[in-house]
Amino acid sequence: MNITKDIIARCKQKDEAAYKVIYQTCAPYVYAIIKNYLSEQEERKDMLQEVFAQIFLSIHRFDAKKGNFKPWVAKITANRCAVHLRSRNHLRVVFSMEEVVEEPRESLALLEQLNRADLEELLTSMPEGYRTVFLLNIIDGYTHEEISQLLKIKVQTSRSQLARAIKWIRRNANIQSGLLKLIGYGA
Amino acid sequence: MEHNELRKKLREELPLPNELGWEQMQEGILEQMATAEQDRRGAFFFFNWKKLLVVSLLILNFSIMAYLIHLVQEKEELGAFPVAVEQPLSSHDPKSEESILESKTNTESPNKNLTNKITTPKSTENQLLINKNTSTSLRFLNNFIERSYDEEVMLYDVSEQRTVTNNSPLYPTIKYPIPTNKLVSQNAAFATLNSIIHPIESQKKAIVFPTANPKIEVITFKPHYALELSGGMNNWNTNYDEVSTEQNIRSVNETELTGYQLAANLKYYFNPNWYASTGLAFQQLNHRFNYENIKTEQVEERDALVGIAINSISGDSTFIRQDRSVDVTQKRSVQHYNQHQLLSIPVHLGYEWNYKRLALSGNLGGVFSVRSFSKGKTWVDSEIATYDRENQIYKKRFGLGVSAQVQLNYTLTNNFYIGGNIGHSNWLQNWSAEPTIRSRPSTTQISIILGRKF
Repeated sequence: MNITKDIIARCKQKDEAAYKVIYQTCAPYVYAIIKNYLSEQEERKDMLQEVFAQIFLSIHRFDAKKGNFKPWVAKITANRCAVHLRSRNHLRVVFSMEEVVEEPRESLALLEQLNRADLEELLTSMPEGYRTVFLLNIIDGYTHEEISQLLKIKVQTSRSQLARAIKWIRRNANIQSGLLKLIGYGA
Repeated sequence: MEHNELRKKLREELPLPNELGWEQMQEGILEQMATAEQDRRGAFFFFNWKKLLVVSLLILNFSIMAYLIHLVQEKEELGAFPVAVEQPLSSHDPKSEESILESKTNTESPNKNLTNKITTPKSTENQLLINKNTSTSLRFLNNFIERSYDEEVMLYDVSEQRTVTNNSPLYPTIKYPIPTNKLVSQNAAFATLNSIIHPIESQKKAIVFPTANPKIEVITFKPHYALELSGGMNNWNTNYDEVSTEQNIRSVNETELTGYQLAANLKYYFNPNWYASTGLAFQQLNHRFNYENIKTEQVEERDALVGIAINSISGDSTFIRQDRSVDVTQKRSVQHYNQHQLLSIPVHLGYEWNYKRLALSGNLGGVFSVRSFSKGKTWVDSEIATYDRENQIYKKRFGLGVSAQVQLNYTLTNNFYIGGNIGHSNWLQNWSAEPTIRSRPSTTQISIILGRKF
């Protein structure tokens, strides 16, 4: 992803040709992030529009000295996805009959052996509340405090959702001969 | 622990589907930008249209109440001058003046409630003094008389320097045709009357009096208002519809409890029996969530002692160990007290029956409610879910319902009364945002009331 200062400067002046360059450069990356959070294709399309509208509107706040363009775009994307899921009221805070215990993250090493398609399949089958907290914390690097502010949930809730997500992954993934096999869904 | 490999995989760039190309997306993105910019500008004024709507409704409600109270006070002030309003006059007939003056019957007071006295001191012949204890402004009286000219024949001329005072009881209002001397005073002695009439005649103004016998028409009803403050208990029913099995689980696990409410209500009696009412009520609805689950799991026990073999000849014993499964039963209970808080604006039409000091009334109407707060636990998607301000299972905050009340009042004084009230409200809208759950609650309230008529 190579966005020049000139492109950003033109974008700040609302140059549509610059918008196009940024879109064509960043869209595959943004789309990959959106696909992790949202499962409906129509919803992904709407979110892609929303994210780029947000990027173009707030590009005057981007400061190249503070960081690269790519992480900045990733942050906006994850943020918009989380806000969208929250507003859709799909992030229900649930607890099951078992007590919440902090799960060892070593089990996530299992996931690293999977290819992208298998990972997608696994994420799609994961309950949305678990998936959102898992992606925000493990993949997009949000702290539990940041997640609690973003999703408007308690910090403890964010922690327990992550613990359940990891437990869910461990329970639903069984590695045999280096391949993951999904067995059953549901918490 | 970093998961860079996982992160890298999940952020691998993906080829864009054809329908997500720039040409297809450009219009949508630009539209969204325009909308977002518009929202930013609009947000300054309409940061939250729902909150704004609620605040506006409340302000409107209070404004209407304040206006109605003001109207009542104004009517009371108007009622302080019953003489001019209620005295129809005919054309001038000097002869009749004299005959009336000599007539004893015409000097009698038509009604004890009317105690106006009109006197004219010798020193100020041009002044017509209507003596009462409470004074009012000259401007107000002039307006008042001019208004009565529109409806009636001219009453009498009033000089510019008159002073008007009034302290008489005003109700019931009395209509009667007043003769010459009645204009002056129904209580005045003849000597005084002559001294009053003379200066009036000297002004040569047309003063005309009816010849008909006095008629008394007592108006028994005057539209008025009542303000009621009430407080009491309520009980409610979540009324889960049969949409899914989750409804049944909820119905079994949730028990409605007693809550409380406080209300202020304004009634307008436009008829001796009929009234309209509105106000503002705060309600807290309580219920308890109970859930108990017993789960049995098999736990593997490694190398467990399952028996002892004893050699009966040598007496040696051997422990027999092997892996075995043990059933473990887990029991977990969850109990939580749930709360919903509502602000309601009822609008009712009612009918009242009066018997001595008692008044029985019934009213029927609609209620608009705003749920300000919901907090608790419930059953959703085979799990126990927590809801609060942040996680709103009961997302739909605005409600519309029908309500009915029966009220019994006991009059303490002319203005004050106490009473009791039983009411029932049924919400027409589903409170739940969950597609599998449908809840149209109903509430039953009992309140005690302190009211004041004015």
